[in-house]
Parts: sequence; structure tokens; C-alpha cells
Amino acid sequence: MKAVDVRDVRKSFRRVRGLRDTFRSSVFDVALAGINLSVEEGEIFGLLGPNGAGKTTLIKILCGLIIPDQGEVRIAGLDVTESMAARRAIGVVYGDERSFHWRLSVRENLRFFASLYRIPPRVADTRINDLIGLVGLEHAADRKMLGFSSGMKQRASIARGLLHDPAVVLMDEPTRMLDPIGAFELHSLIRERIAEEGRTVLVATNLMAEAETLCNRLLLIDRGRPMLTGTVSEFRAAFRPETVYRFLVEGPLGDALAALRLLPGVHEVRTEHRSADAAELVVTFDGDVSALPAIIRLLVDANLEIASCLKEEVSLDQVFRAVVSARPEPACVP
Amino acid sequence: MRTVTAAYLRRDWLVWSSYRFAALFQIMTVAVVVIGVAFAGDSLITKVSEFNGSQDFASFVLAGLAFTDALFSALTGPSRAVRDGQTSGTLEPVLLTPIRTGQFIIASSVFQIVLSFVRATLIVTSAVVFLGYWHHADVLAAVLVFVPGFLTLLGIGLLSSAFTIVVKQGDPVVAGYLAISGLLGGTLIPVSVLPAWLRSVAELLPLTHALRGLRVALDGGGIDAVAGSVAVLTIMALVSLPLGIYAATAATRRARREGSLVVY
Repeated sequence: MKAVDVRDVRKSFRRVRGLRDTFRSSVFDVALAGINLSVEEGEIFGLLGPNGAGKTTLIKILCGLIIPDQGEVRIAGLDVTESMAARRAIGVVYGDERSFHWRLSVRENLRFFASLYRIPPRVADTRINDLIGLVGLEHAADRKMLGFSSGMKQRASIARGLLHDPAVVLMDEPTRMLDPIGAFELHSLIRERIAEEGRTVLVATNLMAEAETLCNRLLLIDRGRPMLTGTVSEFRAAFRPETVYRFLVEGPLGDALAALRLLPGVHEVRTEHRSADAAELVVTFDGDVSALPAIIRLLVDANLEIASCLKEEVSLDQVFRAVVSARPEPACVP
Repeated sequence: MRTVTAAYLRRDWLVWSSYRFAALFQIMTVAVVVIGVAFAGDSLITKVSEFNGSQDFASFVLAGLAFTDALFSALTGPSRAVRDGQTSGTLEPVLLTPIRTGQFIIASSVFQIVLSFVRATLIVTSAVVFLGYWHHADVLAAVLVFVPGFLTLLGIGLLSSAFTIVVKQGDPVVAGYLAISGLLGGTLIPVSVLPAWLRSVAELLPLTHALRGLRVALDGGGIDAVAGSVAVLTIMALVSLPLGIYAATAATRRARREGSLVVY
């Protein structure tokens, strides 16, 4: 059974307009246009996209707050639009600060939500203590949330998302309000504690580094359309199928460049930052990098000193920019 | 439902009591109302003769204020609860839990309703103890009038919450009903002094029948004396309550489809 199973989900929203447009026919903006998504149990899945891509709409459809126009959404095998049991299988963590009663403490807030999930009080108290410890809010558990920092509110949101022990945790831009240290700690928490317990985590983010750090697989959407799906390495391969190595060498290049170009598997060799006694060689392979030892040997035989040799990774940022810069025009349906 | 209601009562008590000045002010308001109305009744308006059989102006107005407050809490509570949830941002996480929308709306209104009952009880008790009113009140008759009156207004309140869920602001139900009932329902002005055509309008209002029956019960009229009011209010409740529940459910579904459930 899939933890998250989304089939051909489509959603359009009526555009909100001014008073003078009251008697004109409605215009609908396409928010999601045929999203398919399948997430295995225990997987950390990333939902990527720029602002306005439809990530939050999809998250809200996954947790049943929005009914799709078309398509089917199942969480842990349960239809989220019809089943109350599905809500018990889903925990949601917001990046938005405004989702707590600020005049109550974290403990009181969590007790309130535990009651809505019908968790018996004794079980709830034990669970709340565990979660407060997990997110590191022991020192502030009984303080009103009025004076909480963004990071503390985010930790409280994580505790609430895990309160009813859900199988699937949906996180909508969870580090939006956090500083780099807070974001790092949250990433550790997701990887080492939440996912380790066997939960499925779906993270919506527009931070490529976050997706790269956390996720097993990714779906990149833009303007509601699925653009690319796969693992991080598959994303890189889709952007640039060839492999690139950079060699920083010291000494006169002589005929070495011409010799390198003759090696099997080498697609291109060019130099960057060249000076009289040093250069950076950029070697592009067709995919097969078996010529790498021969390249090193050739450079050594040519009396060049290899100061460094680095494989050039394509960053997800590059993939993101490439896909999004080729974005289609926004869709609207009269 | 009990667990959810208890959770909301506890939450709202914690929030309400954390605003200490406002809490104290609400309690003081009751004393100001009782003393103010008694003073006005004694010194200024004792000559007005039309008070539906009540002893005097003060008892008429105190009964009107106490029960209008309690009855209107059912009218305004649901839409206020929805609106508070929308603007505070807490509606969304609540709707992710396995509670139905109707449960949420009613449970989150309970604290304000209880608070209005406490205010009404304080006003009535003060009037009995300090002003000597309603010593012969028929409590059972009063309850028989109050319950269907309350349920009728709760139905209208749910209808109002449906508007809040869909259109967010500008709910015509509460705004219109409060304005009309405040003037014509018999809270401060006896219905009998209104022009004939306005009296006909007043007879359509649940508040008119509820206050009339409650005043009769407070003045010692038995169950027979309030039977007419009880019958009218029961019919109104049987219409308004299912209509309100249906409207709130349909509005929630529509808002889920439009994606505007937590928009405000």
C-alpha cells in the first residue's frame, strides 16, 4: 500500500475580483493540472516549486482541506475527501506562525488538540511530554506562546503534527521562519527522529538545499504542472546527462590538451583561468568515466602537477532555474 | 461530542480568563445594568404603563436584557466562532482533526453561550434577591419556553455561520436579525405599544415569543399560560435547526471545493 497516492488531481480556483466585475462571467485560474504522485511508506519526499507553483494547494488537498475538481487522493489507502480515519493518518506541520492559541502555553495547546483527536488524557500527557522533549521545548512548555520566537513556534507546530502518531507527515515550507541553525536542527529532527520511526514525510519547499539534504525523491511542479520527478541524481542527470571533472594543474600544458581529447569517452576538454604556469581543465565525459585514470596518468607524464581534481555536481538550484525559466504561460479558464 | 465540547470550554476559559480586565469588566457590567435599570425604573419611567403584566419598567427591562443576551448568544456564537478561527489562524489545524464541522461550530460556541447564561443568571438572581422581583416565578415554564427559543436562534445562528464560511464578512442573517429583533422583539419596548403593522412583523420573530413566554413564567404564569409561546417556538425550532445544520454543512463543502475554508 502506498503511503500517499495521488492520481490525476486537477484544481482551478475562481479568481477573486472587484465589485465592478460582479456581473462579468467568472474566470478560473488553474492551480493544479494533472498531478500524479506516489510515495512509499517511510520515504521522505520533496515537493518542489517556485512561489505560486501549487505546492500549498496540493498539501491542502492531501489533508482534505480542499476538494479537487478531479482526481483521487489516498493517504494510507484512505480517501481523504470522505474518510475521517484518513485525518488520523495525517499530521501537518506549517511554516505559518499563526496556527496556535497564543494566550495558551504549548502544553495547553497540545492538550486541546489531543482532545480533538480523542486521545485519552493520560496517554495524551505522556505523549505531550515526549514530544515537548523531542522538539526541545521543555524550558518553555508551560509559558504562554505570546513571547515565543518563530523557531519555538515552529517546534511547537512539529509537536502538534506528531501528536496523534500519524503515519504520514505533511510539511509545508517548514523552515520558512527559521534561521540557518534552526533549519539545520529541523532537518536533523526530520531525518533522525521522524523518518527513523518509519513515518512517511512529504516536504513542500522552494529551497533546493533543503530538498537535497532531506529527500529521497522529488517532484518539481510549476504553475500547477508536474515538470520533473525522480531522485536527486536523476534530477541532475535530466539537467545534464554528461559528467564533468575539473582539474587544477600547474606547469606548461604543452600537447596535453590535444592528447586528452583523443581519449575514449572524453567529449570535450577546455581550459579556464589559464595563466603562464597554471590552468583549470574542464573535462566533459559522455557518461562513461573509465578514462579518468588515463587522464591522470597523462597529466602526470606531461610533468603537470595536479593541485586538485573535483567532480562538478549540478546543483538542484541549476535544475530548478532551468525548468522554471522554461515555464509555460499561466493558464486560466473562462 | 462531550470530549470536544469540554476541550473547547477549557480552551476558551483559559483564553477568557487571561484577559483579566475584560473578564472583570464583564462581571461589573452586570452590576451596572441591574443598578442602572432599577434606578431608571424607580425615578424616571415609572409612569409608562405598558409592560406586559410585569411589575414595572425595571423588571420588564431586566428580563428583556438577561434573556435577550442568553438567546442571542445562540444566534451570534456560531458565526463568531468561525470568524475567530479564520482570523486567528486556528481554524485550519482544527479542521484537520477528525471532528465534523457542525461539532466544531457548536463546541466552539459553547463557552460564549455559557458566559451569557451566567450573566443572565446573575441579572435574574440580583433582581430576585435585591429588587424583590419574580418570587413566584415558574421555573419549569420558563425552561420550557427558553429551550425551544434557544434552539430556534441556534438554527438561525448556524445559518449565519454558513454565510460567514462562504462570504466571510457581511453576514446578513445576524446583522438583519439583530437589528430587527433589537427594535421589535420586546427587549426594551413592549410589543403592545408598537403600531399594528410592526406588531405583525414582531410576531414573526422568535425573540418576541420567547420573551413574552419568559416574562409570563417569571410573573408566575404556569405551563398553561406559556403553552402558546412554547408551541410557536417549537415549530420555529423544528424548521430553523435542520435548516441551519444543512446550511452549515453545505457551506463547508462549498468552501472546501472553492479552497476558501480558512480564508477570511
